[in-house]
Amino acid sequence: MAPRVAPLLALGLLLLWTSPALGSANDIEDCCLSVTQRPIPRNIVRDFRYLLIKDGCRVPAVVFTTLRGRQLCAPPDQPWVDRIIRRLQKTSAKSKRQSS
Amino acid sequence: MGTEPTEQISWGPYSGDDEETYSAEPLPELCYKTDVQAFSRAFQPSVSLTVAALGMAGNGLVLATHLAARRSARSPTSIHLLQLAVADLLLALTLPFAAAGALQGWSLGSFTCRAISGLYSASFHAGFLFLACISADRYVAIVRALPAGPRPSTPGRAHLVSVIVWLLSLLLALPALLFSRDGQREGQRRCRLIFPEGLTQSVKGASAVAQVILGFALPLGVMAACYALLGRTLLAARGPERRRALRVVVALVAAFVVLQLPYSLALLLDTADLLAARERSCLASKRKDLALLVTGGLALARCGLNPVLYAFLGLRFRQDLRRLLRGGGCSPGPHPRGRCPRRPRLSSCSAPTENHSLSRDH
Repeated sequence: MAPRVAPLLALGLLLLWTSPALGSANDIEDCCLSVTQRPIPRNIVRDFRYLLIKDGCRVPAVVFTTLRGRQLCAPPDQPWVDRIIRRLQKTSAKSKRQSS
Repeated sequence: MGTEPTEQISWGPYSGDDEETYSAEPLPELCYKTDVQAFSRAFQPSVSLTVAALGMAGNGLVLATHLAARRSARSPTSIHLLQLAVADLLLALTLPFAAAGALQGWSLGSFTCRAISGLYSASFHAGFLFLACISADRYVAIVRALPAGPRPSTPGRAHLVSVIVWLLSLLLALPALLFSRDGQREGQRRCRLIFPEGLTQSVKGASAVAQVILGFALPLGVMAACYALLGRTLLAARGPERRRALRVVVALVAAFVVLQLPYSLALLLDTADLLAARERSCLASKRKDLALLVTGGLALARCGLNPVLYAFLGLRFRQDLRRLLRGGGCSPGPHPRGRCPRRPRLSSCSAPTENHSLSRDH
């Protein structure tokens, strides 16, 4: 971003945060407050979903559902996260083929 | 709060599971906010609809009274009071949409989402800025009413200020106009503001600093300075109107402190969190959401109460209102006190002396 544009844009955005968002003080959404930096072992994960900024979250995250039903927050931009997601997609495609 | 079982990860010896053994530290988990969401679903629409009803009735009455009185020469305060009523009325008109969206999801599409959000944002900012204008007008009116004061200002300047305030409000509403989206999540469509992900941290930092300065310190500073000076002048003054005028000032300041300040402070803390990228526990995050929700409701209530605080406390408005209610909107000729009185009348402009001969209805 050009250095001259940044303050202008900032000025444009500023008071917005002082007004309540339309309809509520803020969007109260189920979100990740932080993400783990250490890789999660892939064999404890059974499902995943994305909770990104467009879902109203401040911290974009991949949420892994573990075998025990816990919802762990992982960063969406890490290669180990991508590997787990690819594996999960592969197994779910396989199980679909088997069931049909 | 805290009714939801926040499952703490126990690393007990019972576990032979991989899930439990690979790490000795708790992992960040998804923060469920079911209880705050349930409260919000009840609280937010009821506040919105109450404020909408209050705001439409009160500000509608202010506008109807003004139109019926057909007064052309006006003091700066009354011009800005009228603009405040317009801003609050526009805000009140957007609130039923917000309530409906909170209750059953947004079903009106992205264009309406942007338009309503933009209108909401613009009128909210305009209302806040007109409050600061009114405090400045009142102070200037008091100073001008003093024997050695400068000459009265023309209505033209007050109109110019109004135009500038509306342009500034539109500028401030640009992000809402541009970035509001009709987004879907878990089957529910919501109209909400989502900043583009490309915004860098420095932009966020700069905007937050500007927000604190312009959105918090400036209006607060203007109002505090004007009303403090006004209070000092009133305390030094004499006469029967002094106490009335002082009462009005105290009511205004108290309402602002009780209704607006908590929300501004909550937002300030929230912004500090956002900038510091501070991690909070799920419980603390839910407390913060609850605080923003409740204080946001109070701040909204201020918009509904503005007619009561600013217009209805003015005696001239009450006279006009009586005439409107009696005469079905027919004004019996030009009002004798169309301009700001030049004599040192301390509650001047917005609250000239009551003319008891007008109140025949009792």
